[in-house]
Amino acid sequence: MNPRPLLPLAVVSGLFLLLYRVLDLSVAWPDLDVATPAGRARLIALTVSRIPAPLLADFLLIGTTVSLGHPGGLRLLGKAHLAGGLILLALTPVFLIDSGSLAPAVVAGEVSVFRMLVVRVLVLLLGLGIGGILTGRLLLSVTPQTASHKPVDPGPKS
Amino acid sequence: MEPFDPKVRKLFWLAYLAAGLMLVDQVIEIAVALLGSNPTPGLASWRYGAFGLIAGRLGFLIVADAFLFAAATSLDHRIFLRILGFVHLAMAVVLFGALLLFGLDAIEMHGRARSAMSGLLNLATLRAGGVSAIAIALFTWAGIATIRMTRKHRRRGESRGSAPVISR
Repeated sequence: MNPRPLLPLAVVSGLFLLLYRVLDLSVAWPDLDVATPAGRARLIALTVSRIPAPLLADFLLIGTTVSLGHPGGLRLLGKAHLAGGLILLALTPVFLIDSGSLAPAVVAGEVSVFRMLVVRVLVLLLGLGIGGILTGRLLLSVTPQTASHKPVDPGPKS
Repeated sequence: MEPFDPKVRKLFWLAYLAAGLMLVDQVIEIAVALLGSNPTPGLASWRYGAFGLIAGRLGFLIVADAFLFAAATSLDHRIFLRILGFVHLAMAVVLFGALLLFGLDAIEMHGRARSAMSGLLNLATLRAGGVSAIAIALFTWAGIATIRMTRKHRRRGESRGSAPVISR
């Protein structure tokens, strides 16, 4: 059975997941004041803490584009990942400084929870940032010929 | 499984990173929710709430799980797949034990709840219990299938690689 006619369905599903998450976040964005450290920190934390659906969407989009060997799609996804990765890495010091300025206001009993939340967001920012750059570089280096049509013999395994 | 181009294979390594990030994210979120308020595991109501919280996050953990399986299968990491299989069987056993405890706690909570709240409590119990039962079945299936798959793979590899035996 040839699965190629069904692959656009995976693209639509991926785009739907991304759109759904953006709409979900856009409800919260107007309430956040990005001029203040608290507002910026909350915005960054809220955005990166919704990762499972975007990662699944990414997996669907990359898998389908590589399977189809679509050169324009590979370039577009590669550039989008590079840009997204760089933005996330650039946001890391911003979040660190903003959360540091919020730390004195945290109640004594909630310090450990605050630290865990900060660590969580930092891990996500760094992981997603580095992952985005690596994915972008790989996608830009994958040519349509090598994408999936011809499996390459890796040679004898050691 | 047919091997991919080396550059495409490298993309599967990033699925490990995605799975790791999802797992760390969800584990910290669960830990913050459980440890944020004063944890009292001795209370049935706390245990009931904690199980409900973890059951609500199982969907995300299963997505991370799918990423791990996709990467390990595509990169032909047989030893890691085998470890994943055993981890899944262990998780199924732990979750089954937790589900039994949750059932007992749910009975206790039901006895305490007022009649107006009992309907909501039943729904929450059914949701958490149902999700966990499906997860137990999934983990058991994934565990057994993975262990069998890697065992067969190894045997086939041995027979292919072994020297022919000449009988006299």
